[in-house]
Amino acid sequence: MPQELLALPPGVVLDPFWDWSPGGIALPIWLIVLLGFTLFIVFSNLWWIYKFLIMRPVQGHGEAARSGNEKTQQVLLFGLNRAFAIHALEYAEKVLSFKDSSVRITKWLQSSPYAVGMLGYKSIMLVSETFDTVKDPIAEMAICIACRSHNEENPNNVIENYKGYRANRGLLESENPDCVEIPIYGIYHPGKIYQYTPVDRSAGQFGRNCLKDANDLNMAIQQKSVWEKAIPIFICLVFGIIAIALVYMYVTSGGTPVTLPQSPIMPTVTQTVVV
Amino acid sequence: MAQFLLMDGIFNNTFLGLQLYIWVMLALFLLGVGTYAVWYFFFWVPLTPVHGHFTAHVSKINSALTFDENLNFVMRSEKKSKLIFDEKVSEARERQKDWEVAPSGLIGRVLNDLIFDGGKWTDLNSPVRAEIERIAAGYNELNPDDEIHTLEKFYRRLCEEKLGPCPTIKRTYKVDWKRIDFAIPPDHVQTQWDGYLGQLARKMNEDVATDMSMYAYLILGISGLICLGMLVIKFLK
Repeated sequence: MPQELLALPPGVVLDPFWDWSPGGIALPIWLIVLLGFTLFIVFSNLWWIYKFLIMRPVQGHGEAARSGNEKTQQVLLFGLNRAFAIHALEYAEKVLSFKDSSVRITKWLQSSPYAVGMLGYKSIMLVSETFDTVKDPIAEMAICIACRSHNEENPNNVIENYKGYRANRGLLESENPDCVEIPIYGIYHPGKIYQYTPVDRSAGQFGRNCLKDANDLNMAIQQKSVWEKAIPIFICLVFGIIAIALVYMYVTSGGTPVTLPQSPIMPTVTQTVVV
Repeated sequence: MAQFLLMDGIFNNTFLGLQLYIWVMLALFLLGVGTYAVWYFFFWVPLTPVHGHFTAHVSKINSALTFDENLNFVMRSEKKSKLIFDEKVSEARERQKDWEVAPSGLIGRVLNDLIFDGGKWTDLNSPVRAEIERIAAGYNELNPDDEIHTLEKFYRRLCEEKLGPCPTIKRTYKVDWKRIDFAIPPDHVQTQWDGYLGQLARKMNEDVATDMSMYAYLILGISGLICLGMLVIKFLK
């Protein structure tokens, strides 16, 4: 409760500026500044939290940029629910996987040198839930266009799935010698290629197979016996018991302070004279 | 001159020659500046190339990720990625009657298009872009019922040969079959990811060993705590 100044308690110092209350209200300058700082901290952090929540779908870019190593890969992930998100995935031996790979088991194989781009100062790969390799949107657009133009001209030999595409791969090249021309400007739909991808090669299936195969391989690696694995535990246990026993012996041994006998030499006062 | 003591002057006591409230102010100032700096430099600055997502969310507009043949992605607003002229999207939508709405997907709550731009059509400083603006403006003057305001419609009219001869503007980008064959590899054989499997298997093995060593550290820690406790009790007596 503020009180009007009558006499200062001992140790209390008043400042002519900071303790001045404008307009005679019981609110000194220092308290106003203090409240200002507090409000700034609260509201600036709330504003940053708001930004953080909005930027969550693209948070992977920041994570990948901060990591600065080649094992963390920036990835644009397309979900079948049409949600796009930028993630920072682990990249090892051409395989992309989530860092918590025991929970999110989907994995992708990087099989195309053309399927790596840039976003900011970090390379980016594109992946989708429907297929187990990294996506190259330019090549996908080319496949779709080549197949559709073939279907328009050959209604009796329609390419409608991946098997048809593989069977007619040579024919498509003969129809489009050297290259396939795609529009120089256009919206890319990541789901259109789904028609021409194998149905039994989803990212989830690839991840599950990888985990299963790695587990089998792990079983094949010569395992240490339980005793071998437990050796460090036993050593630590023995050291622990010895330490506890020694401390217990010290603590229960009386522990009275040692009194030294009085020195036979009488203390003398020496004086140094500086000339 | 009105001066007041709050809480019997607890904050007016001095420490190292300064009142406690000055120390508290200093601490709050450092906390405020420190937290702001941490957010700014560790969260906001690394996200610079995707700041457009935040702008699009706050302004309630659509965004786009444009990319070229080398997959260089740039996040832009719908206006900068689709419109030809410097105007609002809503105005362009009114003037251009046939407006196709086909967003590729969503990033958070923002509708987002993935746009392939292989000819620098979205680069405002490119000569191709200046040519597009010139041709579209001329077409709009002659065809008030079929105005062109988006690059997509410009491309359609270009292919329909309604814009006259445009020799400087490419219509297609050529994709090699080599690149196409890499996209969906037909051979799905394990040797392609055998190295990864070996690493994963080794990691699984190490994880088990790490679990066992954790117990060893736990035993040492508990022993240390017991010893410390006994010593503290002895010296407190």
